[in-house]
Amino acid sequence: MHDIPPELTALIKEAFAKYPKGFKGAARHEIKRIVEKKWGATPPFGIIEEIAEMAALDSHELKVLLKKDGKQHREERFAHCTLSICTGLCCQLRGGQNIQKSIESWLGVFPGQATIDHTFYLRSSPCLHHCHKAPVIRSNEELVLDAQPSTVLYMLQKKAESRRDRQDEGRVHNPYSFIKDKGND
Amino acid sequence: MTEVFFPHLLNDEDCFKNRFDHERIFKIIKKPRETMLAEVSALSLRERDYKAELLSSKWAPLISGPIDSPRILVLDGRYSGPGGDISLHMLEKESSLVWEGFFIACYALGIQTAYVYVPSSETKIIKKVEEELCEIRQMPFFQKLEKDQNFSCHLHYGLPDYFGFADENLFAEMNGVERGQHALFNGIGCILQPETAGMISAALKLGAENFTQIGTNESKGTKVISVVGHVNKPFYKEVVLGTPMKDLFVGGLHGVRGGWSHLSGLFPYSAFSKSISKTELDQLTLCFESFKRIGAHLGKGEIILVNQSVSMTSAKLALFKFFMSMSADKCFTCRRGIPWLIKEMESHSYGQRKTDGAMKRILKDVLVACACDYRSQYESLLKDLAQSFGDIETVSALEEEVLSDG
Repeated sequence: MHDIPPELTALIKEAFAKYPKGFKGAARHEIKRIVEKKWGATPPFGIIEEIAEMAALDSHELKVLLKKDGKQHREERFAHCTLSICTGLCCQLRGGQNIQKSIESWLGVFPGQATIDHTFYLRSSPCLHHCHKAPVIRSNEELVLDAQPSTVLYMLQKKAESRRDRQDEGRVHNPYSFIKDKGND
Repeated sequence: MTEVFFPHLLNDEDCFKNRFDHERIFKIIKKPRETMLAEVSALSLRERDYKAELLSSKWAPLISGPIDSPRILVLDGRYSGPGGDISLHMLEKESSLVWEGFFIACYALGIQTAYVYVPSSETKIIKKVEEELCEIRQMPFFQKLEKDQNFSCHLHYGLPDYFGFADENLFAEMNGVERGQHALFNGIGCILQPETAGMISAALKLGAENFTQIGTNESKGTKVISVVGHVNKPFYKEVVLGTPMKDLFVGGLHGVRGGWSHLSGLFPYSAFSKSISKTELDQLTLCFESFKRIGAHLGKGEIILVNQSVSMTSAKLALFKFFMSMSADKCFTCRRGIPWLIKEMESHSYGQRKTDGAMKRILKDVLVACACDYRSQYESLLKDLAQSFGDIETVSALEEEVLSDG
């Protein structure tokens, strides 16, 4: 059993209290948000059951919902940055296709694929809900509005560089580091 | 006479702190409920959604419903589809008027529980609504409502995606059950659009006599529209109902890319309605009844413009791909029909012509079996496709055949 912090318990109870008996499942999106804020996409084992108990809910139903996007590709979970390209009509009418082409050619991957070092995962999204600032790209949670191929590529370059710097600093495990060490000896 | 009710649509000013008039609501809720209902009915205001019902008829089930069942009102801030989100924009920019209208409606209808529906991905708006609700709960009018009619108001974290435009879809989503349940939390539910709420407050300020002079005979007041796509700069604008459509998109920042003569057509109501060609637009005015006359919906007012640089067929193709990812029920017709349509349209856009047998079959499937809210959308897109094939007689013959079968 896990101890849910009291402030979190209060928030969860408050969320369930909004709805009448028998309809506590309506709070699922709020609960999901609270859980993700505290524990990220994968909450510790047993948490969901405890939360479900608070509202006398079926834990399986809550679990299905709280699981991070069920359709998530296996490669996406390991990627450092997930790039979502909006393929909606509004973005396409304002040059979204050019951006998609430039990203695809720069990364060398197509939607649904990750780069070889798992730095980027590319996915196409039906709509990113910012049609007034089309074309739109989302990198992890950050939105790039009124995107241009040059600005997007600059952003990707920066992200790749920062990732490489972290690898050089040794903060990220490099599986081939032993080869370098042998060479030095 | 003023013809602009929402002057802060494009401002970043904190509308709630500067303009929310809680004393006015306190005065209003001292009036008898019947008087308030009569005042709102006298406005002849239509709901700003796909049905565009008169508020008096939309609220009839709540007014005449059994007294013991709970009454629930939902302020609808869900994503409305591609083409901008007027509901969320209103909640963000014109929150003072929206809140005023919402609480006036809650009082007039004797609501016990009210929810403000905001998609859980809209963190900025959620934070704003939460803060404003906290402040409102301390105000004297709210405490009076709590005491008199056991009233409570909550923020509902909604699905961060599209799930359909009908009221039943929202109820089913909130209930947390599969589609088919039309009651909300076993009570009598009703939905109010933020734009309509804002309009109620503004119109009551102006008075029914002055307000009913704005707009057309059947559609009173103004309408907020959102224009995206092939426009020089995408915009939100408040327009008096009855304005010719041509006047909206000629020249300037709000003009069509390349000029009016280059316009190919437009998709009204986030593309959930049939597309409108340029020839139809020349005669069209911006009001609910004229859109209905040509078989389209103005809906919440999201408009996607397409100029001649792109063929309407390929624009529809992009839309079909969107529908494929979000069809309401994922029923057989959608699963089988949409991929086929995309394939057919792609081949059509490359200039190939296929046999019509498959299209007839799908069309018959849609006309007979399609029961969800997207039926009219698929039907209109299929007809457009048939028209572009030159098979419009086949379509009308099929329709007659299906109708005669009952």
